[in-house]
Order: sequence, then C-alpha cells, then structure tokens
Amino acid sequence: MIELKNFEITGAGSFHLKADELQIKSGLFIQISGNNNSGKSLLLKCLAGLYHNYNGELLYNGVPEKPGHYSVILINDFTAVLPEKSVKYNLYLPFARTTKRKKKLLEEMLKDCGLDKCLDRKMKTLSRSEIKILELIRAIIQQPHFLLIDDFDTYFDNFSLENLTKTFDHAAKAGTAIVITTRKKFEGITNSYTINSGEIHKL
Amino acid sequence: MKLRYLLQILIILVLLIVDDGIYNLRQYSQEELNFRAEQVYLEIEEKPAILIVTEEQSERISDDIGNLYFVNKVSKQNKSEIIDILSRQYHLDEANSLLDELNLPAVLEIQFKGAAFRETESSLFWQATEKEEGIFQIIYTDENYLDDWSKLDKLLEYSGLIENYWQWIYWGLAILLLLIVLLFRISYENRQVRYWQVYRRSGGKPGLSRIFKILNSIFLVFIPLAIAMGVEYFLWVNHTFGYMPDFRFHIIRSAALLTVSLLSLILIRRESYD
Repeated sequence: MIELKNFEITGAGSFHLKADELQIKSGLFIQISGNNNSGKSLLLKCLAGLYHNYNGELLYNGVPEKPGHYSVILINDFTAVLPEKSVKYNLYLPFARTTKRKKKLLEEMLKDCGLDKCLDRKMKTLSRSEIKILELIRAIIQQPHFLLIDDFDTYFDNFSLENLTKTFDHAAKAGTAIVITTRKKFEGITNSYTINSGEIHKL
Repeated sequence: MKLRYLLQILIILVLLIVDDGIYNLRQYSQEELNFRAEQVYLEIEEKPAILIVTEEQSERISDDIGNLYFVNKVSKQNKSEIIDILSRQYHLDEANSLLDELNLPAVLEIQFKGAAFRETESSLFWQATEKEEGIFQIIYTDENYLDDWSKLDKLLEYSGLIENYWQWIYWGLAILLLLIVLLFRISYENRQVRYWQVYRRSGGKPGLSRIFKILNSIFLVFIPLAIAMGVEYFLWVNHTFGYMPDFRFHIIRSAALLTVSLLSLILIRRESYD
C-alpha cells in the first residue's frame, strides 16, 4: 500500500497540489480526475519515483519510499515501444525470460482486447490506442505493485474500458493497484478522487 | 544492431593486427640490421694492425695501445716465438743458435673492437702510435676499413629511419585506435539510448543498461584483443612467425584500450526516463 500523508507540491507561479491523506491499496482501481494543469501527471511521477521535490510523506507499507522499494510502471505520453520492431518483440522486451504461464496469460489478454492477430506486425503500423493497450498488457503481465496510467481518457474511452475489464481483473487478482488520471470522470469506478482548487478530495 | 557491433569488433581487430604487424616488423628489421652490423664488426676485428717494435719497448707499447678503448686485444710475438716460426717455416733447426744471437724485433698484432672502431678511432690510433718510441713499422691503412665503415653507416641510417618512422606510424596508429574505440563506444551507446528508455519504461530491470554498457565496453576491446593475441600465439607455436608474442606489449595495449573504452561511459548520453 502506498500512502500520502500531508503531501504537498508547490510549483512555479500559483501551482499548488495538496493531499492530506491518500491511500492506494493493492488490487484497487483508482481514478483521479482533474482539469489540465491540476497536477495529475506530477502526482503520478511522484508515485513512480520520478519526481521528489515534494513536502510530506510518501509511505510504502508504512515505510518512507525508497527507490526499488516497490515495482511501478508508468504509462503516459511517452511511447514506450520500438516502432520498427514487431509487437511480439516489444511485448517481451522487459522480460529476461518468459514462463509458459505468462505466455498463456499474455495470449489470453491479447485475445480479450482483439490484438491476438497482430503479434508479427511492426509496432509502427498500430494505432496510438492499440499501442497503449499493448503497453498496458505488457505492464500487467509483469504484475507490478502499482500501474499508473496518465491521461487515461486520451487513449481509452468507455468502450475500451469495457473491453479492458478482463485485463484489469488479471491485475487485480495479482494484487496490482491501478491508478489512472483523467480529465473527465469515468462512471462506475468506486475509488475516485478529484483534484479541485489544488486539493485532492475523495468522491 | 548486432551487425554493427560485429563490424566494430572486426574493424578494431584489423587495426590491432596492423598494429601487431608494425610492432613486429620493427623488431624484425632492427634485429636483421643488428645481425648484419655484427657481421661487419667481425670483419673489422679480423683485420688487425701490425706494429713491429723493439723487443725492449714492446711491453710498454703493448700496454699503452691495449688501454685504448677501441682496442680489443694486443697479441705479442716475441723473439723466441719468431725464431720458432722462422726455423719451422724454413727448416733452420741447425741455425737456431745463430738466430738467437740476432737482435730481432717484436711483432704486436692489434685487434680492434668492431663496434667501437670508426674513422675517429683510426685517427686516434695514428696519434697514439706517433707518440710511441720504438716502433719500426706500422702495417695498417684506413682503406682496409673503408668498406666496412660505409656498410655500417648505411645500416645505422636504415636503423634510424625505421626507428623514426616506426615511432610516428606506431604511435599514430595507437592514437587512431584509441579514438576509434572511443567513437565506436559513444556512437553505439547513443544509438541504444532509445532502446534503454523504452526498456526501462516498459518495466525492465533498473540498472541492466549500466551492466550492459560496462560489458559492451569490455567485450568491444577484449574480443579483438584476444583474437589478435591468439593469432600471434598460434603463428608462433606453428613456427610461421619467428617471434614469441610480447606479453608486456599486449598487456599495456589491452589496459590502454580497456581504459579508454570504459572512460567513454562518461561521455555517453544519459537516458532520461521522465
């Protein structure tokens, strides 16, 4: 579990982001919505250990966060694929070796998302949304402690969300907590937070 | 990318073999020239100067001449030895007693040191003999040695030329080799930056890129160095090549290349995960 206590980021100009208490428990699906420049992406970078210029505490299982304490994958506007390589190559990229179980799970998830036929295609021939789904599947298969998806609604809509339900179920079963940030709120997500006037509120 | 890596290894290997060739060619040339020079020195040593001196002064003259730095040996044939030679050569056994009464001179045979005896030393020899009293005759002429000195001059000239050019070519190639290793490493890793960014952001093991960079730095020079040394050793074992590999040279060269290859890591662009 990640916990933010008296968390505060003060940026340039009037930028300000504050969270008195925010808990991200394993296996949960959490949505954080807010307008542009509300600090959603910066918050995810803090959780991913890419930004440290904040006040307050970021605790992992009650202990202050340290690099390598927990595994986290951040999916954001950075396209984490090699466009000239095949889908298969990109999917297996982070693995030193792949077990049969993982392979089977991967095939299953690809089938659920309708991408099982594109394994041999070059990554550059896929749409941006398809690439993000593959990044998502590749992340889930690694069973990280936390999966952070920035600007979720840029790549996925309600229809995609429904298609990805099974995929997210795999993550939940493995105990991966998923945190997404969106501009507009997705309905039906129980753990929702919103950033309003620089403060994170639970809905 | 693998092809690029192999090509880099191949280019470094070719340069190392050329480097080895230059190093060994110089060694071979100098040894060959030294061998030829040694032969000329022997020729000089086989041409002694002869001094015919009075028996009384012979010991002193022999000592004075023998102390000159370019003189190897002074052999003296005294009266009794000369009588012995004459009586044997001309069958004068019965005249031995008569010869004994004669006042015969002594003969000094002066053998020069081949490596130290040149035109200057010849003048010094003349000066030394002029000072001495009791010398009847000097059987010696510079002309006897002119050919040898001329040969030595040429050999020294060639040796100097080889040494000078070798220094320039060898060190030039060494610097080129170091620069090429540096350039290859930087270029290769800068091309890999995107790969490692994607690898890391896709959830790959943190720190693996650093391990690979260090391993690549080592293997890029270690593989061609090992092959070059292996080839040289193989040729020596099979008597195709006359020289045993100079391990000190190989170790120094390997250390220099490895250091440059590892130092290149400082100049490689850092991946940004942000």
